[in-house]
This record gives sequence, C-alpha cells and structure tokens, in this order.
Amino acid sequence: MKPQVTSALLAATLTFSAPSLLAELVTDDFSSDELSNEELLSLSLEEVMTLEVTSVSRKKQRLMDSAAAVYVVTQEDIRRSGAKTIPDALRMVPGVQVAQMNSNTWSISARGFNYVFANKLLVMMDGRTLYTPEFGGVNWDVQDTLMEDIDRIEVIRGPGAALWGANAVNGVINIITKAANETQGSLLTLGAGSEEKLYGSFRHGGHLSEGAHYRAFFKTFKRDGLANSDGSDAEDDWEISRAGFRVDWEKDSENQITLDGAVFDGKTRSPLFIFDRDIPAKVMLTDKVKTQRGAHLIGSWQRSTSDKGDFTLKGYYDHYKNTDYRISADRDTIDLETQHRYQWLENQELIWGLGYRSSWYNLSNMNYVVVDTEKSVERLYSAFIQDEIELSPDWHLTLSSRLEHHTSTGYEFQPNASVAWKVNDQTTAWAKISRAVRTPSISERRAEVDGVYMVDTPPLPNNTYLRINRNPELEAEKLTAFEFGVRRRVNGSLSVDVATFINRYKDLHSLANSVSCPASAPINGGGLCQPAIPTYFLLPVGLTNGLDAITYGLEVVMDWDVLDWWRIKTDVAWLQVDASRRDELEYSRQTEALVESLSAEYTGNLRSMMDLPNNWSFDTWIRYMGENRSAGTDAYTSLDIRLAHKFNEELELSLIGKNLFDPTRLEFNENFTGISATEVQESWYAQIQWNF
Amino acid sequence: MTLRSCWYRYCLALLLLSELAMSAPKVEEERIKAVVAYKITHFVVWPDKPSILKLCTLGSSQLSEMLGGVVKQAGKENKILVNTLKLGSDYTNHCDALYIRDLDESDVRVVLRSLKEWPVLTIGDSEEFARDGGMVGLYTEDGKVRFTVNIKAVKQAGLLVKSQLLNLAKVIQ
Repeated sequence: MKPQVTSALLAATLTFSAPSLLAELVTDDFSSDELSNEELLSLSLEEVMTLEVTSVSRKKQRLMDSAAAVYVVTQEDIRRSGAKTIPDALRMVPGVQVAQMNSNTWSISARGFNYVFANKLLVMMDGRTLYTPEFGGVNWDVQDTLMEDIDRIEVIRGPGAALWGANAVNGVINIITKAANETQGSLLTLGAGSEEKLYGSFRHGGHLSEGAHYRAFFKTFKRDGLANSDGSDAEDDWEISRAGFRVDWEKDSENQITLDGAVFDGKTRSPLFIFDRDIPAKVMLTDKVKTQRGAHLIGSWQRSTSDKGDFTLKGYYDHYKNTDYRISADRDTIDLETQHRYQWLENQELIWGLGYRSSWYNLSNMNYVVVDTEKSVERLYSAFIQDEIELSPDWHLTLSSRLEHHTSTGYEFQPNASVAWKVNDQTTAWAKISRAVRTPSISERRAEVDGVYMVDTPPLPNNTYLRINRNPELEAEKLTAFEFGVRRRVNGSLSVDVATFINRYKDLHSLANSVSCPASAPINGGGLCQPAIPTYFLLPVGLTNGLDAITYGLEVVMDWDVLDWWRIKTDVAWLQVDASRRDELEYSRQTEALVESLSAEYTGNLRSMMDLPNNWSFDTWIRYMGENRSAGTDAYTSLDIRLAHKFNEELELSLIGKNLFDPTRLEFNENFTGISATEVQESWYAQIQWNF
Repeated sequence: MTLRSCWYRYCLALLLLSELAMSAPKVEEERIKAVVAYKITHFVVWPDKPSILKLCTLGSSQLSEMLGGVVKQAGKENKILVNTLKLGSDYTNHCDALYIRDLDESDVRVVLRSLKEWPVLTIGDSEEFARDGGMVGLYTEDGKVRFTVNIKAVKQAGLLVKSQLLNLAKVIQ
C-alpha cells in the first residue's frame, strides 16, 4: 500500500501546486507575455537579473567573429585620409590594388587581375550593384555620393558568391551610407586646389514626423586633368554634378522602410589613342567628350518576424546613359529581392533569399566595339541559402550556396563552407572554402573590337591591328578558393589580423587563333584580314576559356593605439600569380604572361592619425605599390598628409597634400581599351566644412 | 510498485514542475537592459552629485525611447533626463551616464577616448565593451542579463561604485 500512498501524495502535491503556479503566471500580465516597466522597476536589481530574456533584435555579428577576410573603411578613415573619391578611399584596403589610369579611370581589383575591366570584384552601394555587365567592370567615375555621408565601406577579400552573387569572385565591396537620422542638420563643404579645381556640396537632414528622417544633398566638382609623360596637361579633366536624397521611416518597432535615390550628370574627357581607318594610322583623340547621365531609386522594407528574425523586401531601378566614342550605352535595370533571416533551430540561424534582375541595353555609336544586336535584355534569377550553426559556444559552422540562372551562361551553382573558432576571448581563427564564377560580359560574348590595339611585332606588317571576334559560346570563369585567417586582439590597444588564401581558377579568358574577318577585309593567305586597299591589316583573334591559374598570398593588418591621441593602422599584402595555358599556341603564351604580371607582388599602407591639442589633427598616409610589369609601371611609394583644425563644433578647416613623393607618377597603362594613360600629379587642396 | 518505479514517478513530477517553472514570463532583452542600466546608476557615486541625472544614449533611437519609458515610470521624485545624442556631440557636458548601442567598434573607441577621465558612466551592450575601456557592459548569458564592470575605467573617470553592485557583476580589472 505504501507505494500507492506515495504516488497519491505526489499526485496530490502536483494537483495542488500546479494551479497555484499557473495562477502566479496568469496574474502577471501573462496575456502580453511580459512584465510592465512598473513591475520591473519594483524589483531589485538582483531580481531583474534572474528574469529570462527574449532577444528580438537582429544579431549584430562582431567583426572579430566573421569567417572571412573583412576590412572596414570607417567614416573616420575616409575623413582623415582626405580621400575625395571612392577609389581613393579603397587604396587603404589591404589586398586591394588601385591604379589610376587617367584623371577619371581607375583599375581596381583584389587579389590579382588588376585591369581596367577588372571584372572579378562585386561592388555595391547600399545593396545596389555598381558592376556594369556590358563591359564587366565598374565605371568608377560615376560611382559617387557625399563622402561625409558614407558610414563605412566593407570589403571582403575572397569570394562572396554564395551570399552576394556571381562576379563576387575575388571580393565584395559594399559602400554603406549613413541612415538619415545620423545625418541631421546642414553640412556645407567647399574646397579648391591644384587638381581638385573646385568642389562644393550641401546636405540638409531633418525629420518628417516621429520616426521618419530624411536627408537631401547636392554635390558638384570640376577636376583637372593629369599630366602626360612629358609634363604637359593631359586634357582628361571631368566635371559631374549630383543630387540625391534618403528617407528612413521607422514605422514602428518592427518595421523599417528606406528610400534612397539620386541623379547625376557629367562630362568626362579621356584622351583616346585609337586607329583611324581613313588615314590610316593610330591617332590621339583628345576632343572626345563622354557625357554620362544616370539615376537610381532604391526602396527597402525590413520587418522583424516572430521567429526572432527579420524579413526584407528590396527593389531598385537604375538608369545609365553615356556617349562614348568607342561605343555608347543606354541601360535600365530593375532588381527585386527578398531575404528572410530567422532562428531555425536553437543553435542554427538560417538566411534565405530570392532575387530577380532585368537589364535592358541599347547600344549605339558602334565605331570600334560592334555588338551583334543593338537592343538586348539580360535576366538574372537567383536563390540563396545560408545556415549558421553554433556547434558549440566556440565553434561556428556556416554553410551557404547560391543558384543563379543567367541569360548568358545558364545555371551557375556557387556553394561555400566556413568555420570560425573562438580560440579565446581575444583570438578567433577561421577557414573557408568556396566556389565562385564570373559570367562573361556582353562585350566578351557578343562584341567585335577592331582597331584599338596595334600589334606591331614582326613578322607582322606595319599597321596591323587586333580584331577581337565575338564568342557566344564563352563560358564563365570559375574559382575554387581556400582561405584561412587568424584575428587576435593582443591587448587593449593592439590588434592583428592575418589572412591567407589559395585560389584555383579555371577557364579564364584568353586569346585564341581565329579566321573570322569582316566582309570589308577578307582573310588573306597569311592569315590576316586584308581590306581592298591594303593600307592596314587586322589580326583576327577570338576569346576562349583557355587559361587556368593559381594565385596565393598573405595579408597582414595591424591596428595600434600607440598613445591616447595617436593611432596607427598598417597593412602589408603579398600576392603570387601562376597561370598555366592549356595549349601551346602563341596567344595562350602571351595571355599567360600577361595574367601573371597584371598585379603588383607587394603592396602596403601605413597610416598615422594624431589628435593634437587645441582641436588640431594631423594625419599621414604612406603607401607602397610594387611594380606592375604588364602595366609597365615601376614600384612607387606615395605620401598623403592632412592637417585640420576645428574652430568650434561647427567649423573645420583642412589642408591636404596628396602624392607628395613624386611630381608625377604613372600608375597604370594598357592597350586594350584605347584610353591613353596619363600620370598622377602631386596636388594640394584646402577644404572648409560648416556644420549647422 | 518497487522503490525504483516510485522514484521514477517522483522524478517525472519534478520534471513537470520544472517545466511549468520554465514558462515564466519572458521579457524583451532590450527592456531588461534598459531597466538594469537605470538601476545601476543608483549604485554609482559622482564626484559632484548631479541634481538632475542626465542619461544619454548614442546610436539607437529605439534605446532612448525604451530608456525614456523606463525613466518616466520611475516617478517624478527621481530627477532624470534622457538625452539622445549623435556621434560627434559633446558628451562630457550633456551626460552623467552614456549608454552606447549599435555602434562599430572603431566608433565606440573614438567615443570612449573622448570621455577618458571625465565623470561620465559609460554603458554598452556587450562583455567586450568593458574590456575595450567602457565601464559597464551589459550582456546575456543563459537567457539572463548580466554585466561586467571595468574598475580601472570607473576609477579613471573619478567615479565610485558601491560594493553591492560589484557583488552582482563580473568584475574586470
């Protein structure tokens, strides 16, 4: 009988205690699942600390914990470096090589393949892609905003294809502007100098209602041309005006809506060194003014969801139109994306998304670059998923993959896996393996390029130019990357970040033999295209996926608070490129040699920021770029300095000197685009900034 | 009916009881942190006792709304003011305590550097905040709100912290 009594007693205890427990729960405002502020305040601090919490806000990942080679250029970095353009700000990122070809053209890449059509880098601003699929690259001259309103530039070296999409092969650059509520009040900036001839911008921010903030800005500048190698003015000046706005509306604690838009209009001059068939000879054209116009509108809606996550719906429209002497483009893009992030299981966070993008092209004025159809549409469908698994408090495994369908190459699958190990509070180690593809651009698949590149090596006759034939069968370039890194906070004032990688590329684009000639110049016995009156010849070549390559390197970054008022940021990057051709054709050999010397082997930055008494600040930036054999440039060291004084909370005056070691310097040169390279000059400018 | 089966049922009962206890009311992390931050100010002694305690927030308008709501509930006898600031403001003159949220590490460092040796209680949202030179870092562990206190930073600012607070905190030298 005893056990039965025990169990009866037990049952009784349960029955009597359970309701009282329930009663306690019920009386505590359980209908809203929370305690009121009044109730919380009535508890002692100790009691409050025993309450269970639910986390509704989005997880903010510490940079320390990310499993990738990330570098963040902060607003302070931008301000104190005196960088007036986004390419200039990117010079301070380890592993990224920025070479200025002329006043308004840059060649920017990460971890190799630095080329004006540097096409292995995905660049975005506030989630809108800046990569031009027509030519595979970024028109850096028209990517701009108010430098003071850039919150940060996040650069991920290495493939980011799973999360960001195809063409994020060697890296992802994300330029993030500040929220409207962080740019309130008025800001007037004026400056003038030797190269920055004159510039001004005005921004005003305010609030529309409770929780809705806006800003609007106007910016204009006129920049001088650089110098020719003989010191004469190169006539590659440019001027652009731009206006934009942003509205952020926090509808309630769960819904956030953002609207961002801008328009720009400008003229750039780029001297062209190009073949004129009528003469015939290669001539320097300096009067070809390229007009560029564009506009964009981005809208996004982010909503917190009940499963401790958030859902984002984003769309944008982008328009760009130019008049370029070689080929003119008129492009409209529409993009629609959704993303859902939520806590799927207790230790797994899932992010998945869908995307659709359509771009309409209208190409005209095809003097040198001829595309088979003037009008075309490119569509991109994409889906991605990422699962972040907390194997233990110290080990995180992230698996992600992306599936895309491109008009050009069909389906592309890009998976990646990474693991982050929190060795201790001050040290994190990470490793990543990923696959990424670079889909061929419209010009690579469907354009014929005539008369831009002179091939004057014997035994070819004088006046022989390259004719690059189209290849619609061109496949995507593929990359398998292995990366590894360690981040350590040595002590309160010193942190070190080391990243290393091995990238294996397959199916890189290379030149190949061709017999395809234009009707006006059929092929002759020697394999060249010969026109009726043989004053010039064309050497026909085609693009093919004929090259493989392995690149590897190391990037070391250090952030050191030497003293309370003195901070040093430095980095060194080392890169090796080893290409291997698939066949023994002459062109393959040449492409292999070209690819191997497209980037500098060593680059480095040393930046010092000093806060001096009486609101003065002094900043210096020394950077080193190794020699670039393909570009024919020597190694160089450059110095920028900035001296600034804050008169009061509102007014700041600064004096900036750039490129101070050499009066002029050639940073880049190539022959494929027809653009004539000019030299970067030493320059000074003064700026006044009024915050009111 | 053996001792073992009896024991088994008792365990089951305990389990059931504990299940019920587990479904105690859950409160949003943000609100608990705001309440904890507010309550911590009662354990801090400023060199010049402020007649009106100025609580500032930086980086999150949601936080200042939250803190404002908590402070309003605290009643009118406690003279407290909540200020919302933005980067670059003059923190030293407007604040006795500054709660920083949603700022990048480097921005946080800039703010803390400008406040060094000023009697402003700096509060942040992570354990690391106290390690990086902040005074109080609020974080969650095992689903409950905890905080770290950096004694050195507190002393440097000329502030004093009552020992009862240190007993509840994870202290960092």
